[in-house]
Amino acid sequence: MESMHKKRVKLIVSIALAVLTLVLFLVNLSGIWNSGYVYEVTDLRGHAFVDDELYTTVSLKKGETVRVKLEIPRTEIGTPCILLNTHCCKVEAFVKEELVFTYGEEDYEKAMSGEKGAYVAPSIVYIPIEKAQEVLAVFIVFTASADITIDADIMLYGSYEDLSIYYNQQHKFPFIIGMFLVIFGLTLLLTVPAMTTDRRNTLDMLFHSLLILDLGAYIIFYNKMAFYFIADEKLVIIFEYACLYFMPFFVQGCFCFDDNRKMLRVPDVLVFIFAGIHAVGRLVAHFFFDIYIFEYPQGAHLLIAFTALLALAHIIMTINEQLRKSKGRLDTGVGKSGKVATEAEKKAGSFFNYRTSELAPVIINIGVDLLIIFAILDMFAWYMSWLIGNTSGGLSRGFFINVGSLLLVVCTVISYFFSRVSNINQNNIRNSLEGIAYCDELTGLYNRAYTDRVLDKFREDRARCAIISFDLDHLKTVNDEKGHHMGDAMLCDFAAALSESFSNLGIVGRIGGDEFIVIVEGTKGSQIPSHLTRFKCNIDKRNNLLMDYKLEASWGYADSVEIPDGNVQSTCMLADTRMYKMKAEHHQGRDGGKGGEV
Amino acid sequence: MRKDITFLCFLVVLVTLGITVLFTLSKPAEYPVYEFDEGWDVSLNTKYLGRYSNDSIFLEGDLLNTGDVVTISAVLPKLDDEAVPAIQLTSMYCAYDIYLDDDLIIRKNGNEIDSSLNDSENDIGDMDAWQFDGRYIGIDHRIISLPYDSAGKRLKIVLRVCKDNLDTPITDLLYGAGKDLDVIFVHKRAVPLTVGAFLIIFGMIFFIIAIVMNIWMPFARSYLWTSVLCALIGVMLHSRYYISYLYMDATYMSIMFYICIFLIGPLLLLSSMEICRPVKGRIPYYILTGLTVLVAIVAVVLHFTGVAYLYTISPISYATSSIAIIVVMIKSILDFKGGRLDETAKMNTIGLVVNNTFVMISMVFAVPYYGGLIPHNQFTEMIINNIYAIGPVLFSFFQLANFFINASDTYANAKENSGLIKMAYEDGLTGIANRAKVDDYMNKLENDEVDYCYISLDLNGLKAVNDKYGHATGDIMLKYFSGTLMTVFEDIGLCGRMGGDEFIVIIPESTEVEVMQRIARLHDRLMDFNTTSLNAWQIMSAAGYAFRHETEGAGSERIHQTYLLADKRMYDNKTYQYANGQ
Repeated sequence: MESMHKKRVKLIVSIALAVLTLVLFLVNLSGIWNSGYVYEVTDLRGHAFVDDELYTTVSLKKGETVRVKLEIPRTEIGTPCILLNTHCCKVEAFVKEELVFTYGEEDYEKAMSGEKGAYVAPSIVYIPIEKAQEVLAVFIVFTASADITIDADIMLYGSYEDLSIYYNQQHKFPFIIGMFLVIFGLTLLLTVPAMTTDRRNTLDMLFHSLLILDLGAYIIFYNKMAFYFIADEKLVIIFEYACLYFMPFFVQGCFCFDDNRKMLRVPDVLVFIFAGIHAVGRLVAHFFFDIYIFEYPQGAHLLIAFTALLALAHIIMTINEQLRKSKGRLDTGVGKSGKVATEAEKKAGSFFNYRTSELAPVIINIGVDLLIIFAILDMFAWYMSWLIGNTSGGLSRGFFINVGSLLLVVCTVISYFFSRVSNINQNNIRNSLEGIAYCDELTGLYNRAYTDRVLDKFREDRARCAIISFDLDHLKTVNDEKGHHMGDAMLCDFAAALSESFSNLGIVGRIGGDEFIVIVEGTKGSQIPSHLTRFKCNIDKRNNLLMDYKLEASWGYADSVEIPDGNVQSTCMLADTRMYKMKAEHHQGRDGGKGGEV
Repeated sequence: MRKDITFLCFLVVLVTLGITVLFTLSKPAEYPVYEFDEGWDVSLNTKYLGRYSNDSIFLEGDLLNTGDVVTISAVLPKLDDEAVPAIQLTSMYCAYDIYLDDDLIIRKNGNEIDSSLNDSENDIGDMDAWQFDGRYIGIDHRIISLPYDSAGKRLKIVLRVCKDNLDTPITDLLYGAGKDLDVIFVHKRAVPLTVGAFLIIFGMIFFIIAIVMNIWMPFARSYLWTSVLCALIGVMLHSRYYISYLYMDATYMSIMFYICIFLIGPLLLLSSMEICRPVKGRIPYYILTGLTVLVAIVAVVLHFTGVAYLYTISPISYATSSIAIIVVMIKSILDFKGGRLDETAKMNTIGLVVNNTFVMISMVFAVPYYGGLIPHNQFTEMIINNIYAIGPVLFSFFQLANFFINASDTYANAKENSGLIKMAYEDGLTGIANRAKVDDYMNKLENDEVDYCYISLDLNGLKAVNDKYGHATGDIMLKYFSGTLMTVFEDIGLCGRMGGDEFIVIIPESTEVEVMQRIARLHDRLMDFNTTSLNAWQIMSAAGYAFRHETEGAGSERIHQTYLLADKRMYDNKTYQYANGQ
């Protein structure tokens, strides 16, 4: 039954993920609208030269230049221009040996003169080229203002309107996903302070929300969509790389504070600390030493690789343990008394058995693992394009990380559903357990454990309450003379009378052999006298029917408003004192059972 | 409760903080952007009307009707050499031609044949060349690039109205560098853009997951409708603020918007219905929902058959959504008062109410704004652009908050439950299973029809020790005995204390040989203890066992039989022990 169930869950989760991935692929691949007059680099037969050598993806030292020659097709385009994605380079465009456009001249001069923190901001640049139709060729010269790696840059030729729409459409998927992740991460983050202080003490939720926020920001910055919002374009690249460097830190944070990952704690914490130092260090180095944040991304890549290795190790270890566990279960087939919970939990779990409660964190874990796998794919594509020289740039646009982070969110949401289920189950379990744990077996009233808990709560809240203490007289005599079963019957009778009279007023409990208590909440205390009268009638009725013994009791009640500081304990004691006073009166031969006002 | 309020305050503060940050993230334009302060020369059907400023062009005067031709023109100022000149415009239900000094640059929604005619003849004034064929022309938002040499030339926009009772044929006119216009556009609509993107993806993800989870988890159903509602509001925001032009063809923008507002009414009703499913009074609800859905379907059918376009029917959609909002609000308040809501439903209802409140606020604000009662300035424009977007994001937040609370509750509950489990199923003194646990276990074995051995054990002389040496000593004796019992039997069966000096062991699927061996081992252990310890008392126990297969019957009756048999043998054993003076 259980294995069937697990299979079904796995099946459904995988189907959902598959459908989602498919939908996203379709959204991404379909409908990049093209007016027919947008030319990509390959259409333009773009050739780039470094010292007369052809290049595809290239590392540039500060001051080195790349010349790109673009052949312009002979078409009637209203406002011909070229869209460029520059990466910390000064850009100059030449038509007929004539300089028609420059970008970043000022910053470049500053950088070359050795000013701190000076580099040309990466940006999306539109180069107007009016006269290109006459010569059908444009030269664009990139000059690096810092040590950088240029990967296949986007270069498009067409009219401005077409280019802008084309570029936006190409990036609609990361743009929308990025925005979603940012808002989702923020929403998560907003709840974290409340959750961590109020309900649980682990920090994995914090890191989880930070990871999602970080991913969203990274996707937006990486795809150069932030130029819509941020004025200082130099900040964009700092944000982009800071997001990248903090990514392994946040992933490791999720791992470190995850209770299910105890076995890899030491390497997890080590990589976590190291990633944190690395990220902060890179930021410090950027601002205070002249090692720019975008210069050596390999360190972060290495950290992500480490994270992936740890994730892989964890997956293998978990599978191993599951196998061992299932074997172990076959061998003994018996629950140990140390772990006695399973029966009630299974009984109480209404539509899912209790194991779902373990599933919720596991699914989040799967999400993080998937994210890492996709991040690694992206990194792999990046290095491959670097090695092989893929000019199309399609692979290196960070597509996989979008899918990966979406899957992370999907897994998060799925795990929310599971945690909801397990929450319902746990509530059911608790109700049934409380029935057992807080019930006096003999009389069916609440037991001492429960009344103590309730009193504690009143004490904590400093709330008003009233307490009635009852003592059943002559129990010992009946026990000794007529046997225990008669004493038990007497207790049960008395308990029934109590619960008939007081159960709608407050909590009725048995707190010792012949001691009973009624706890009345708040202002209901004023109703006690009328209920006591009813109780007396109840006792009398029973006594008329009973042959073997007579029910006689003493009681006393007190309201916490009678005590100067409203202390619950003093209230109890006052009630007890009054009860003993009445008992003493009974013993003096006064008419018992009908005791008057105290 | 106080914690909840603190939490909500915290939330509101952070949200407002976030929004202010969004507004302060300003991006200045690289090159100057012109809002045509000089004004436009406006003429209607060849009749010159005069010069109007950019945002007062069409607020005065009569409404326009189908077939009217509005021509506006202005001289373009000079832009920077390195800027790509472009003009932004939003045309409302109009076909338009754009001319620059009598050169046709763009023709949108003109008839194909006529446009070629017009091109060759270059005859602008000829109204008959363009025939309105009665098809639907919606709202178009564009940033159109102009030739580099357009400075100083006269830009002329000819608008052909395709809708009756139209007040504004064109808005959002801006001239500047293309990139600047794009940035300004996105920046002005940052909130609806972000919120819309969030809601679309959020709705999609939740819908897919809810539809799957619905099979096992009944509560997932309420998320089915709320997620669709979220996605729909996202699409509506993107089409209402023309944001969707960034990533898709603008042709369908207005149709999308109208379909969304037609569907929001029924979806609100359905969501509210699923959040709290009342036992009684569902039928009027269903009727209302069905009616609103019917209205939406009829409207779409009418539109696509060309009988009546969506913009003419849209007042009905406002009516249905208003009714839906009012009904949902009343129901939510009644549900709250009636106390029919659990925690989850409460949160979702609050979300819905918040969302509806923001809709109402934005409606209340929009009427005087578009009616011209409130001045159009940067501040009012900011409010009108952003106010509606806040409601739905809070709505989705309330849905999520539910899950966050659950996730952390689960953790706290697990801890509390483990404490309760101990109380419920463990013997307080010895720590081994108690009667409740043993009963559970027996019932399970009986249900599964597993053969088991029931060993009944009795601790001899407990009462004597209690009386002679005190209860503390008796407790030590009990603890030692239960400990020994565990070490002997733990790996094959369940040990429990039934009360006082009665202990039992249940061993599933066992053999008589094994049981006898184990009992002998227990005996040996106790003997070892008795001989080595210096206590004045000794631990002695009597045991009797019975197998399930020795008895007949079913269910609890059979359990009882087995128990009686084991107990009888135990007493026999005891008597035997006493007889032998052990």
